[in-house]
Amino acid sequence: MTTPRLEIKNIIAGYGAGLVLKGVNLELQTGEVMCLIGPNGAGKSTVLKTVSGLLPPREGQILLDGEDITGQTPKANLRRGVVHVPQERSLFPGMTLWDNLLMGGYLIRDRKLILSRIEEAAHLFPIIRERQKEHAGSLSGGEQKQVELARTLLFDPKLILLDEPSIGLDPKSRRLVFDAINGLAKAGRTILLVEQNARSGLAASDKGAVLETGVVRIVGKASDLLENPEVAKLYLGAAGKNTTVKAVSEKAKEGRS
Amino acid sequence: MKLSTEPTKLVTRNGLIRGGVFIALLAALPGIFPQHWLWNLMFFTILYATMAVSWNYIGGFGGYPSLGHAAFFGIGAYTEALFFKTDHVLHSGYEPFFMLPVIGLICALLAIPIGMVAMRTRADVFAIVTITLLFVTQTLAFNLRNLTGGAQGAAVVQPKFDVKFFELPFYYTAAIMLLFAFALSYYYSKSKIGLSLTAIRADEDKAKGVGVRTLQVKVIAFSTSVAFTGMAGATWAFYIGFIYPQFAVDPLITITMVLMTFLGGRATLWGPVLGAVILMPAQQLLAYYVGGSQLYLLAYAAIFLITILLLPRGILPTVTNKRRLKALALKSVAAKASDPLAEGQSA
Repeated sequence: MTTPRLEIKNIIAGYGAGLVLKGVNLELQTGEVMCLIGPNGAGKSTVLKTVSGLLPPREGQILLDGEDITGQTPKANLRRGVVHVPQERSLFPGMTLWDNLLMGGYLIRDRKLILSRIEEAAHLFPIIRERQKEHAGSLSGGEQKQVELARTLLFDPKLILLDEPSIGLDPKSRRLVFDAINGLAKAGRTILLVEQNARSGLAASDKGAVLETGVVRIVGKASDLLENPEVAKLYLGAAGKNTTVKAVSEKAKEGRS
Repeated sequence: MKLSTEPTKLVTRNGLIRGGVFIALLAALPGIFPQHWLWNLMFFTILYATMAVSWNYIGGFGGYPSLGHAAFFGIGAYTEALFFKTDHVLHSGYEPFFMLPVIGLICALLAIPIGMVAMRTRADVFAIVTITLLFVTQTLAFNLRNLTGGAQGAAVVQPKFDVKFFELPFYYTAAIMLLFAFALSYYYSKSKIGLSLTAIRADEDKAKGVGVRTLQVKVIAFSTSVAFTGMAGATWAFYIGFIYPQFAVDPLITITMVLMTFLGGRATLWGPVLGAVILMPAQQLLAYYVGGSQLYLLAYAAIFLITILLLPRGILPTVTNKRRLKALALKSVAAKASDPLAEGQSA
């Protein structure tokens, strides 16, 4: 059996005196996309923060390709290939798209390597080529998110952590973002995604997990979660829409394989 | 569209041509205009251009509006006065010029601890901290009489240059300093330091988030910036020959270099030079017509207000932006003309 890309073993973490994660266990194979869903305050974003190193866990273990990275700094994890894209806009609005990309690879010393990776990212995200000299602030929310996703490729990431990438976006921009996530998945990237828009998130994923009050309640194939009546009732709105969503999900998977 | 590889090229053909013309112009100007009063004006213009270009490292690229640079101008001036008192025997007369790099280094080293403290504050607080530094330095210049001569002032030994060409060694020294300051500005604009400074100006917290060592970068920019200001102060002291605290550590020096940078365009390569070329002759002209009544200060205020109102980004960025918008508009007209469907759709 191959070593999972990411293993989260019984993680307990929180802020101050309060505990948010109370024993989270998750496993993600190389090239898989997993979507974490759940109500507000369930600890979805906290899972991402513990993996990237922004929040050291109090107990438990995080393994990346079998290597223990528990409690490592965000910088050290970034060098290992763990890239965290936060919920907030992380581009510099007053800088050009090109400079924003260079800033994404700030810790990489080899200039040629940065350029070759930008070239690689431009294949997946044509916006880089088309709008390279424009200020990031002049791009729409969806386009900015695309650039943020493109920027992750500068680290040739082993694992991309996406925190609510579609938050605050209109349907058209949301579609752009999920197309971009599908693009990353097709390129074989491993992604752990947190999404309030559970329907779109699961449709773009191979696996799904439902987090409630700091523990994983359900974990399984994303397509199974989309059909699960309990999940549909609590997180997907009306159960009757499942057929359409499943069709979208299957289409995304077909495109990837 | 091809991906830009421009940021990797430190020297471009166009850059070399522009640089060559700039150097040739600096070298030829005194020959083209051989009058003494013009040499004097050119010396001050180039000296202030050096200060404006170097202020731009931290105030323009980094977005930290230092108002304390005149303190280092004064420190440079008094260091020169201490090294070359009137009893000092000059041989060639050029010795004080050779001391300039040492004075720059002293100012840069002094700026490191100051910068490390001051750079922990941002924006308006930073401006207040740096202006406080200026007044503290001025007070020290008045009170450390053994070192500075206090209100009585301090004399600097004078060289025995031929009176026909007295201004020229000062002018060329200032021109060399400007070239070095400009080269460093160019390097910053093309290098990782420049990128880091731009990111700091845009959003310092995000810059920290992507791995920029913000304090280190800011202190590098600040200390290299004041090194040139200190050297300019030393050159000025040697030229003037006698310095007083109220003129050597004068807030007006800072205001002038800031205004030049704002007028020409902050965070641009040529903006501060353009600002100096416009403002310094204008100041001399105003001083000539309205005498020593310092009414030109009112003109400064007016220029500052007009710049903020009409050209908030300065002359060069405004012109560049207008040209870019015009090119975009032309491009869109051309695209519409070549697309037969566009007309049909709009009809």
